[in-house]
Amino acid sequence: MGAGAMVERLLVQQKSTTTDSQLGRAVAWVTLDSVPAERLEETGGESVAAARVGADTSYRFRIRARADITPKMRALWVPAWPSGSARRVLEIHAVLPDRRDRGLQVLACSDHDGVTV
Amino acid sequence: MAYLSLGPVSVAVATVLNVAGLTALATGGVHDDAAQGTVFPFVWYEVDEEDARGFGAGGLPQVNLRVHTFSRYEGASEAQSINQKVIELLRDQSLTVTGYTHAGKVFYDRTVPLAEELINGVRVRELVSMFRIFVEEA
Repeated sequence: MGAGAMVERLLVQQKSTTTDSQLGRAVAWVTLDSVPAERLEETGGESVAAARVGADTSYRFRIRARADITPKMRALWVPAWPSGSARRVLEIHAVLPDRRDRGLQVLACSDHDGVTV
Repeated sequence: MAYLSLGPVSVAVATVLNVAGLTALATGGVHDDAAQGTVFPFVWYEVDEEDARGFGAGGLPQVNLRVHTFSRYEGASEAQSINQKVIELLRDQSLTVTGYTHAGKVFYDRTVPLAEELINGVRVRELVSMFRIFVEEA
């Protein structure tokens, strides 16, 4: 696959945590890398959790294979289309091999309520 | 004769909880129905009523109040801070309940953690504080 399909860009971030006084964790996000990505299929749905209705949209992105991206991370994403889209916060749920090309991998992600930053 | 005190008691509880001292901590606000897109942390309360016979012609219902705090912080401290404020605002307070006289004070019973939930891969913590309120029909 040529680079032409990878018109999206994901800013992959990893957690940096500080242990608080009762052994919880304060979280800060640190950028790992900005990677080109191809936007694949997406689905959406709504459900009730924590006494509120929420909307989840699931996305899949194809990126060049690398070993350092894990489901503990998140990605910030400004959709290439439509223009002017807000930057979304995506949770990375799985990092999957691309069955058709060992040089590529697929990120399964989702956002919740279209949270933006 | 009023047959259900939940409406007037809910109004009184909302008035007590919806103050800057609490919403500064629970930035998603205080709700009796959390709207879609409500941000975390937030507070949701619910009430139910048990009928208790008064000494006069009117009733003396017991209203059970549960105040839930939801937090996505990776630890208990945020939910605990919010719940502490909830208890501070309610415990041993007198409520103004339209159509009723608040009998005694707000009784605080206990706080319990509920099973954690997962929203979009992020764990949500929930603490519930429980109170009892007795109101006498005016």
